[in-house]
Amino acid sequence: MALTETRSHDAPSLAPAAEEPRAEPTVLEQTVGTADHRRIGRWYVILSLVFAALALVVAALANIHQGTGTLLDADLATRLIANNPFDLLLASAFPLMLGLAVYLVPLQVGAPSLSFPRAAAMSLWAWLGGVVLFTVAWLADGSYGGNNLKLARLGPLSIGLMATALCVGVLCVAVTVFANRTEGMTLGDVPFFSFSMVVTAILWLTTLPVLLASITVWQIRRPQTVDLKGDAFAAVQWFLHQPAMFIVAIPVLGLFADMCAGSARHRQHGYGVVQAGIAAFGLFSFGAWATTATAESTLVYSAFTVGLGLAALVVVGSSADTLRRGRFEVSGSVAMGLVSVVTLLLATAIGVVNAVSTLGKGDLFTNVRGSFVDATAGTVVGQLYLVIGATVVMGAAATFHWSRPLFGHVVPKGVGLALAPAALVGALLFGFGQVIVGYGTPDGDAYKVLLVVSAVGALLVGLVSMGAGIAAIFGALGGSHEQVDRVEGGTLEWIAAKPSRSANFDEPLALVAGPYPLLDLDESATKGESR
Amino acid sequence: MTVLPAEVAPGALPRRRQLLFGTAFAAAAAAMFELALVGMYLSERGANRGVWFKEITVPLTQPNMQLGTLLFGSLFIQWAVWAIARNHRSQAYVGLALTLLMGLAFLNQTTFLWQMVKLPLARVEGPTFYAVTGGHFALVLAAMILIALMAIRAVGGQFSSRLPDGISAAAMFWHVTVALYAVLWLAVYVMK
Repeated sequence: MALTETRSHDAPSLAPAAEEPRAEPTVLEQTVGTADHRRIGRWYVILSLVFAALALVVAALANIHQGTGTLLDADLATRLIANNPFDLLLASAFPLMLGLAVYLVPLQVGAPSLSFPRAAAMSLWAWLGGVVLFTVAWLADGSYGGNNLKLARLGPLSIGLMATALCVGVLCVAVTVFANRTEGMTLGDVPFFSFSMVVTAILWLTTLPVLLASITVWQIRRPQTVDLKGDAFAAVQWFLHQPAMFIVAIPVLGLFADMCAGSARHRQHGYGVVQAGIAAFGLFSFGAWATTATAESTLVYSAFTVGLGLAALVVVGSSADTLRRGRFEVSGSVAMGLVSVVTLLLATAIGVVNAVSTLGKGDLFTNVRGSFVDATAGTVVGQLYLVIGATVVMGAAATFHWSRPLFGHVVPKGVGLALAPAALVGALLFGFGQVIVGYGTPDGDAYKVLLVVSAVGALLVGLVSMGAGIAAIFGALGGSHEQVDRVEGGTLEWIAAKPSRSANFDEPLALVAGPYPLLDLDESATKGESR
Repeated sequence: MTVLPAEVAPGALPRRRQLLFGTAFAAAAAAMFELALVGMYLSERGANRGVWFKEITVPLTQPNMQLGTLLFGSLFIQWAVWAIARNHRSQAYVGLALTLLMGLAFLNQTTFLWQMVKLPLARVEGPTFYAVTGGHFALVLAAMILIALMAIRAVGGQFSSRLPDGISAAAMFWHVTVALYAVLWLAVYVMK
């Protein structure tokens, strides 16, 4: 039958006369075989929150060992410290942002589904496989800092698998925004989080392949005489430094901007300026060009770090202004969101100080940078911890803020408020313990205390992550799925169908004519009543 | 067979451009991967100027032929795009088949070149040379798989003048691999 042919109504139906009842898929079949973006997104969020909590406990152990030098076996400690940043980034922070995007972006842009949902499902399972392989590799002495040459390739290979999986996932999200937006919604009207995910996708897809290329060359280079403590790590170290480390935090700005406008129920003034700020932050976090140490003493490098700080400041300042102008009630999620962006701003500020210090010849300030492979504390290590802290805390905040679209019920306000102080103290201590060691170069007890302080910070952020993870698990399992009448934001995800439904929206959406369709609807209803 | 009269509105189509956007992003990622490998190759060459390909000869004839083969592939796949947009389905199939043939020829030429050069992996040029050329080999293979998939879908009637996206997407990915080969050809084979 050709495309233009129409089947005759009189023709005998090819369908069986009586439909046989289909067996209900089991929980395992539903889980493994799903191509529903909401299920995939929830799995990503829950798993990455749990992995983040575990990786932060490992980070705490690493810090305590660095301080005391006696907690762990020396070999184990070397592997733990060298591999932990990859766990924190690729097994926790990156997938946490991706999971939220896989779930929320199609709802925010009014799409019936995620683009290429089976590819997104594949990305979830490939990523999970990568996390398992990576953990096996470093536990079995075969990843960075290890001694087992037979298992040498497994660690970098699993990092490559995780990076590829994340690339596939973020590609699906970006295509959804470009090709599956609801009618009338231009790219300039796209909610901030969805817009930030487009920027994120561009940056991840241009940075992670460079990481893959570094791993590929190393895999080919010296398979027999591999040095897991030297060259192998040097090839990927740039990924843990600024500006590349900031690519994980691009969605933090989008989430915060949406959270502020939604909580305040107030339109963002200068919508395009905030979008431009997010895009600029993305642009300045492109770090694939700065893979060698010499790049760090160039003017362009310094300009990138200053640009990062300014762009973040524009977005955070504009969003905070919206919060101030609107009908804002203090909530745990917004409090945690504020903690997250303040932490991120501090991380960019440290970047500026470091870049100014290393510009030209020599260092302007005392600046011990620290290194994961040498297990030394310092400013670069602390900066990465701040970025990870900001991302994990924002992930937890978003889980609470969007709990109704995510799980069908609202997480009690008190839970978020109770975790907010832990998030604030934790995120700051986690990074600043290391940063102060880098600038102050203390020795003896002060050094020990500062690294223990950093460990305490890691545990507190881990607590926040675990709290959000538990709330997410309970939400996914035991959520009441009650439809709350109150709409909590101006964007489309707040009128999405209950998570238990198969369709994203119960009814076809009306033509969208601005970034806040629900606020438009409210205002037109109010005008109608007043007439 | 009945032909719909002009006044009847065409039925709903799958969302357009999804495949094109997806392929554009994938092609960008693939390009970054290959360009990073070329960058590492050039950096390694810069660090080992004195010994780089001093005892081993890499001929230029085969790489020239490879570039020509890929360019012919570009021509053929563009023919397929042109044909599907005009519902000349048989011409589109021929175009796709010829592109696949060019891809196959390119892969054969690459393995032939590797055997001809006989560059040991232990030499200083070895790892980055094989990474760059092997990486591109993998990209052409990926492009061929994409073309084959889109050809099967085209045979199944999924693409036509109303929805030519699949063929256009495959063509886009192919053209990117050709452009990347041009960079590689210049960096590895011409500027030896």
